[in-house]
Order: sequence, then C-alpha cells, then structure tokens
Amino acid sequence: MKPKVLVADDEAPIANVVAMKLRNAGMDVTVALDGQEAYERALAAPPDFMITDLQMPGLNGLELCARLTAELPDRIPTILLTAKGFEIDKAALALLPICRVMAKPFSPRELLARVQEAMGMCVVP
Amino acid sequence: MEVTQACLGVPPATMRAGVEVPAGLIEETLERTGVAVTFFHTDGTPYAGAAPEAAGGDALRRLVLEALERNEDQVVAADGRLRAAWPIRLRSRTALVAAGELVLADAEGKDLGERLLAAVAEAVRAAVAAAGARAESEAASESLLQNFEEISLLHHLGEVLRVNRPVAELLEYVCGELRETLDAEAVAAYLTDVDEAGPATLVAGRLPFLGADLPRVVAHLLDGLETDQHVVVNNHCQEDPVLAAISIALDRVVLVPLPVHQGAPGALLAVNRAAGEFGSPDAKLIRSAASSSTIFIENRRLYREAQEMMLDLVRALVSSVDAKDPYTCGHSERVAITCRRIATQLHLTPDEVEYVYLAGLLHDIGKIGTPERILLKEGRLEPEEWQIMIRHCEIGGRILAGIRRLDPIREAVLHHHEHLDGSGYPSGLKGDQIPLLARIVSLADAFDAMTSNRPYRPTLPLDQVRREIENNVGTQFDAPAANALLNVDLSSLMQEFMDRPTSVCLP
Repeated sequence: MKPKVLVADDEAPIANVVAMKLRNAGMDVTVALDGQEAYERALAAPPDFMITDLQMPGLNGLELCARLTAELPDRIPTILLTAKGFEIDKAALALLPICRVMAKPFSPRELLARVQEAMGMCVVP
Repeated sequence: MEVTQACLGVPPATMRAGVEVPAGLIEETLERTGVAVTFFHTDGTPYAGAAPEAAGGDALRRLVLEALERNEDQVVAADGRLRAAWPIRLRSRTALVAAGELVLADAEGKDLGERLLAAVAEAVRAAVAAAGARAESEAASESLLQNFEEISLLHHLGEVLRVNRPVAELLEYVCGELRETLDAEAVAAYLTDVDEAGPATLVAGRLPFLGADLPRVVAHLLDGLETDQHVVVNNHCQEDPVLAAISIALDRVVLVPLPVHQGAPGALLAVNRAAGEFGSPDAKLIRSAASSSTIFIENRRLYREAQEMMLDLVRALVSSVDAKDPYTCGHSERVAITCRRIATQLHLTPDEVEYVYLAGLLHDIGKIGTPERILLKEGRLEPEEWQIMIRHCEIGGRILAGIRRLDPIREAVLHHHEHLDGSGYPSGLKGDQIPLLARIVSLADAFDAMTSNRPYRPTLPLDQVRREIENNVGTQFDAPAANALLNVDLSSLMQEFMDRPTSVCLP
C-alpha cells in the first residue's frame, strides 16, 4: 500500500515540488492549493500524513490541522511549513499532531527524510 | 486511424528520460503496424534499434537519402514498390529517418499503402515527440527539485557565514550539506591558505584515496582546467592514468576551484556517486557553494587584517608609554596576556576575551600624559606628585573617549585602580560597581607588578604571589577573577611572557 500524503500550500510551485519529491519516493500524493480544499479532500479521503503551509488564505495550516483533528477519528501526523522567523504559539502546537515545523526555504530532500522518519519508514541513507 | 492509435499506445515504460528514441519503441512500432520500416541516421549509420535489413537494406537507404536531398518524402521505385521516408528530429547531431516500403499490387493498393505508411510515420513521430516531452518534463522537474535544494543550501549557508567563525567550521558545513544534496560518496574542500595556518583539508564522507593524496588529485585536475572553464566534470577517471594510479576506486569527480587569496590554489570537489554520473546541475550547485565560500573566506581574511591592524595600532600606541619607562617595559603586553588567561578561565565569550585583552594592553595609556619626572622618580612620591600620578586613569579614559567601539575598554582603563572595598581610585567604586573588565585588569596589573623587577623591590617568588592574591581577595581583588588566575598554570604564563611580541623599550 502506497502511503497517502496530502500536501497543502497556496504557493503552487512549492506544493508541486513537494508532491514531486514524495511521488518519486513512491507515495500517493494529493495536492490542495488552499486550506479549505485541503480540509475537504482530507475529509473525503483521510491521508496517512499531511504537509501544510502555515499561512494560507481562509483556513490556515494550524486551523486546518485543528479541524481535522477534531472531526476525524484518527489524528493525521503533520509537518507544518512556515516562513522563516514566523513565531508560532507553542501551546497551540502541543495540542495538535504536528511532529515538526520546518522553515522555508527547506530542502525537499530533508523534508522527504522527515516524512519517512515520522511515518516510521525505513530511511535508506 | 487504427495504426496510429496502436503506436501511440506504446507503454510509457519504454519512454525513459534521457533516451533520444526510447528503447523498444521502434521494434514495437514495426511489430504493431506490420509495415516494413527501417531506421537510419541521416549520416547513413544504421539506428541501433532496427534490424539493418528490415526493409530494403542499403538500396532503400540510398534511394531515400537521395529523395530527402530533393526534399521529397516519397518515391516509387521502378520495380513497383512504394518507398517513403519520414525524417524525425532528434537531439543528436544526426536526424533519424524512418523509411518504409510496401509492395504495390495495383492503384488501389498504392492508395492504401500511402495512407498506411503516412500513418506509421505519424505514429513514430508522435511517440518520439511524446518520449522527448516526457524526458524534458522529467529533466525540468529534476532541475526544479535541484534548484530547491540549492536555494535551501545557499540560504542556510548564509546563516552560518559569520566572519568571526573559523573557516574550517564553514567548510565542514558546506562539505556535509553538499554530500547529502549530491548523494556523493565524499565531498572535500582543499585550501592552501587558510588563516595562514598552511593547507587545510575537510572531507565529508569517505574519499576513495588517502587524504594525503588529495593535493595531488586537486593539482592534477586543476592542471587540466582551461582558463575559461570553471569546473571539471570527469565521469571516467579510470581513463586518466594519473588518477587511476592514485586510486582504482576513483570513478567520478566534479571539481570547482576555490580561488582564494593571491591565487593560492584550492578546490571543492565531489567524488563518486552510486546513483550515476555527475552532470552540469551538480557542478552548478558546487559552484554556487564555492563562490559563497570564497566570498566568505575573503571577507574573513579582510576582517582578520583589519583586526590585526587595529591591534598593531594599539600596540604602537602602548609602546609609546612603555618607551617612556624602561622599568615597566613590556608591562602592558604582559598584563594583557594575563587578562586573556583570566577571561578564558572565566569562560567569557571570544569577543569578551578579546575586549579584556585590549583593556589590558591599554590600561596604562594615560601615563603618556604623566610628566617623566614623576613617572621615572625613584623613591616615594610626594602627596602632590601622587595626585598627578593617579590622574593617568582619567587621562587614559579621555584618550579612548572618542572610540565608540572601545567603550567597555575605556571604562576598564578608567577604573583599573579601584579596589573592591572602595579604597581605590579615581572614583572609589565598590564591589559590583566596578566593571568586570576593570576588576580583571586590576588583578592582572597587580600580578605583573609582583612578578617583575621593580626599582624598589625584586621579583616575588610565585608561592608568595599566590598568598598575596589570596590575602587580598574581597578587599582589593574580585574573588572569581582571583580564583581564575590561581587556576591558571602560572609557569606556562611566565613562558608566554617570554614569547610575547617585542615591545619598544629604551635601553
């Protein structure tokens, strides 16, 4: 079974690059270009893992994660992408299944390694 | 048309990136259409994927090439065979030609044959174009991913580039990150002039040869570099006898020169990759990292030169005081060295240690304004002479007042004769009111007075110096600073005094 990953970012090039890297690594990737679209896709077909940008119009990354955590039976482990230097409320993070916060610009290679690590997959160095 | 459909349905697996005409595509086309088609390059060489005698052989080829020269794409041979040719644009220097023939039974057969051959041609062109587009798209995606890695690497590089960090630390980071990003067996940096400390080598991963051979590898690769080239990409190192002699396991290398100070040779190189050959995107990434590193190393050198120049200026200023008073010759330098030892022992930051050192150097700078009849007087000073003598603290403070960056040092100079119990001068400050730098300088100053010859008393033995310091902790000296000094290896400190830079002293 290919792991299902949802990638949400309103910057399409970034979403696509992330998707490409994960697909090359054999994952089943869905791309959403805003928080609302990501929310709907996740409800329709809950992914095994989510990568979301923090700052998106409408529903932001934290709100998206909070709503999915409240409404879905299983918590979706999530990596949050943020602009550099953007402060996030630590208390809010602690309540959500966010396993890592990565500052942009990030390395797709490192992101893939973090996803594989978080999903408990074997990482070939 | 059915034939076209069949051909376009060539499974994507046969359309691999980087292959001009995907392996198997042509064989597949022949099989699916049942039309005898042959392929050959416009320079006459046969296409590897097609059986040379598949259709008509050399005779057909010649006929078709002649027709192509006349800009015709179809000929009917005298023997009643229809022959057609379809040029296919390739990325290599020669185009590929598909030529086919059908035996024509009658006029109706000719019409059908033409349509069939045209359809085959269309299918072949479409399949080749699709494969090309796919290869291009994959290459673009790869390069986009690579660009992201590059942006991320350069961004983080910008964060670790600090002029007060050692070059080795930067190079270690650069090599490690490049190795990860390039998936190379090893990435190495080799510089012949780093911090004037001789050649430096940094390696991430494992080189397939001895570290001692790195200079030879670099020199050999740099030697082969044309002046207008910026990079060496060699995926067949074993074909180079020099490289092959150094290591049988050195297969691929990308090298970018690091042109640092005065053309001293250096290089950044990636070695071997299990996943395949190195290409220009890899070279581009290494080059970006190399140019950032070069700028950093150059900035660092300029920074170091400016620092050195400032220190030299300070020493020149200080030696003008030492020159006035032969008995205190080298005193400022010794106090500065002692200050640095104490500060290091107190685990101050490198910047603070540097400040303490400068404060030690400059602490007596105000004596430049003290009349020589008082400064050089042997025997006790009269009270009014003493009042003039102690003014050197304030004069020193005023001399440094215009240098904003040296403000903490100015304070240390002004207060280096304060005592912890408030009995010092010029302000009679107590305890924590005395800046830390001043407390350290005060201790180092007293230490040097005790350990060097003075007209009024000879050098004290080190044991007695220790007791003197211990006895005056809390009244004259700061306890943490005194403990720090007592923990210093005093005989090695004495040795450092002997090795100190020469001062200007009167005979």
